[in-house]
Amino acid sequence: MIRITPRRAVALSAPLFLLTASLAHAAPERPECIAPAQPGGGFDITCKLAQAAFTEAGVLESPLRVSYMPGGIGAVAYSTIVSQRPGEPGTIVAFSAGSLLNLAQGKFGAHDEDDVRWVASVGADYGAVVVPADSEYDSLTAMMEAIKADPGSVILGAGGTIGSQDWMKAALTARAAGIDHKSMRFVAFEGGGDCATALQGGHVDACMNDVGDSQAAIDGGAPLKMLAVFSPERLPGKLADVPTATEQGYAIDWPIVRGFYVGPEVSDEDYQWWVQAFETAMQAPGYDALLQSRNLLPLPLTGEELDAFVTEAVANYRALAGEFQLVQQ
Amino acid sequence: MSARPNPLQGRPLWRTLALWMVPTLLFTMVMGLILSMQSLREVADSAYDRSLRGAIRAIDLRISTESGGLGVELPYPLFESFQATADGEILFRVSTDDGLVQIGDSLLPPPPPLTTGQVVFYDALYYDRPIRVAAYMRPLDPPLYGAEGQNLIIEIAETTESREAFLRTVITRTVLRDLAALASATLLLAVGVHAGLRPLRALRDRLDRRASDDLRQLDPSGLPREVQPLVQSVNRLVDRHRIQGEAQRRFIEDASHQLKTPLAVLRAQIDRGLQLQDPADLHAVLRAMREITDRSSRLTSQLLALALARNSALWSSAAAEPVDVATLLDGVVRLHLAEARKRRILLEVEADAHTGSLHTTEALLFEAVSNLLQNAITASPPGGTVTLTAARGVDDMAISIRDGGPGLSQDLLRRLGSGQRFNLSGNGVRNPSSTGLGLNIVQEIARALGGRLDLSNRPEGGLDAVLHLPAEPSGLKAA
Repeated sequence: MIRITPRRAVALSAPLFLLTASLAHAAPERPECIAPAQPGGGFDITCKLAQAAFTEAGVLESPLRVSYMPGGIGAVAYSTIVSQRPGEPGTIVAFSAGSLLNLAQGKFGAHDEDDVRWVASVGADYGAVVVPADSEYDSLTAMMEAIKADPGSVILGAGGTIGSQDWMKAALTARAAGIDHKSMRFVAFEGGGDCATALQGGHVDACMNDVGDSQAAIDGGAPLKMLAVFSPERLPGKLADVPTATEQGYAIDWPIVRGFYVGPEVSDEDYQWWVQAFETAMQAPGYDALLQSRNLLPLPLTGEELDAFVTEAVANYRALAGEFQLVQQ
Repeated sequence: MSARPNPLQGRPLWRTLALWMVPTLLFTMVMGLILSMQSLREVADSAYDRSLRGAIRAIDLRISTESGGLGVELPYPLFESFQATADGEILFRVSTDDGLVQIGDSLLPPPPPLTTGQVVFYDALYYDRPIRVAAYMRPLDPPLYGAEGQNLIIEIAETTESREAFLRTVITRTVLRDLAALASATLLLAVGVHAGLRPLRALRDRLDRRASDDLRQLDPSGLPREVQPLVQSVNRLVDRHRIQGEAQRRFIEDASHQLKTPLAVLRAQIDRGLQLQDPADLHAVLRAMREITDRSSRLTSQLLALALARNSALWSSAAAEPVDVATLLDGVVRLHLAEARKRRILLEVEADAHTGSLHTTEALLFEAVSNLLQNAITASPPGGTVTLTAARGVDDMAISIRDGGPGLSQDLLRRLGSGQRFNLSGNGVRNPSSTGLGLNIVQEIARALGGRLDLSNRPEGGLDAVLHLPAEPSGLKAA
């Protein structure tokens, strides 16, 4: 389990303040952020956050273009960047802890975490259990009891299929509740946005989404509610009313790092430009507000620090996937 | 049935027929049902499969690869229109065959090996619910991230409640229809048997109304063909009773007629005896009376033999058995040897073991031959010869008894030959020990055994009595 507390994140990022020199290198042409999912999910939020931060900090003259490349929760985008577009200096791709989990399971094809260049993490999110506002379940406990009674009766939706981080959250909860995780009924979507849509249509009973995209949907007027967040403590602000899974008897934390990588053949200059651009953006005074409005916590890691973090995270996820017998050969 | 005042024993005919018919019909119906269930299931499957195929096409249209990724517009609105016509649940999964992308119900069972461009249908289980899955695979063009030979698999599954319900409805209707057909068939059978048996009930009423001495034949016309042999049997039975009755009447007639004369003579002798004083005369009268009594006793036993012959013809066909003719002739000759010797009459038997046997009633044949031999011995002059011959013909046996006596008068031969009854009273008492019934009895027996008696006077003198008997038993000949 990876636990990222804000305190540790700040400590990790502290030395970077020294490197915040002016951006010597020119901005790459046609900067683009690929959200490797359907619009509306966590990747979308990540790209939009970068877009807003760059604009606010004045790093980019024109707004960062956001494009969508759904397929396998980042798998298609990862493979595309590694094999087809490895040297595009202007392209950054959003990733999340889910991407790292899939990497750990070999779900990104024949690629591993060393095949791309990790640029920056921009914030941390937490897993959340979302149900329609009028759901018959008013707590995570009630829902798990219903699954226990009849696994086929509760349809869980998630971004990504078996083995994805959303599935992993559900499987961990099931294991904590004494339910065979293989008996859960699972519907995979290309990201949390589709799941939220299906949830409102009544096609699934609950979404194993993230706090960020869920609260964004709720703020957007979607009739949804969160049953639990997978954070060690209650989250601040308007999320303070949502109980943690731990409070409800399932001791699970699921932090979700959100960040970006670029292709393996992007030059060091371009890579450094992106690293510094993110550092600049994240130090800008309005950044915390941007994070808060997206219900994210700060987790400013860049460059080698992020590299080390990713390596450690993938190793941890690989162990966890082994526990659930998910690793592909 | 229980409402009947006198419940009859035995199973009603319609129920017997139903016992044969209903299980057979049930079996046929069940087999038919199983076959039609299969074809119904195929029809239902093809109809429901067609809509699954349509859903696959619709989802395929909602898949976009323009962004370089693989995007699927959520097919739930499509399912909603789909589910409006079918109860149950629709499941879907869109995936790439390399497992990189998987959208939809992740736990659908893996599809069988697929051929690109073809929709494959199969049954599977999903959370213990039977589902029907349509799977379709097509190449991704262009493939994602430049992979080679990447295929897209679309699976649509539908829980089979609605088609099962459809099948149940159809099958329930079929079963109900078949049961109704079966019930009406049984009802029709009962009614039909009732109607078919109406002539029989009429026959029963006719029989019930008959006077006890009415022994006329029943008219079988108008009765079902199957019952006609029964009526014919009843008719034959009635006939036998009639013949037996006639035989008994004749016996009583014969007996009373024949015993009247000796009784009258005895009465006269007794009257005469009562007037006699001389014991010697009285003794003579008593001797004469004894002779008359002997003759009456013989007459009675012969009348009984006659009646026996007539009855046997009617009732004792079962008593027929193979009879060796040579042995039988030997026995008859032994019986009469003493009497023949007394009169110095030579008895010759021309038969040996090769003569063979007859299938007949031994006692009757013995009686007939014995009677003929008795007549021959009586008719032969002292020192004469009586010859018994047995000769086998093509399909009959001829037993002849020849004597050297005076033969029969032409008048008597004619009357016997025309089958007229031996007029006993007109015969006269030429021989005091003859009852005059012998030839009559033999004729009766010959007829009973299916043969005949030929009587002829021999040119060299004497009577030739030939008994022709069939070698094989034939049907009974009523007298």
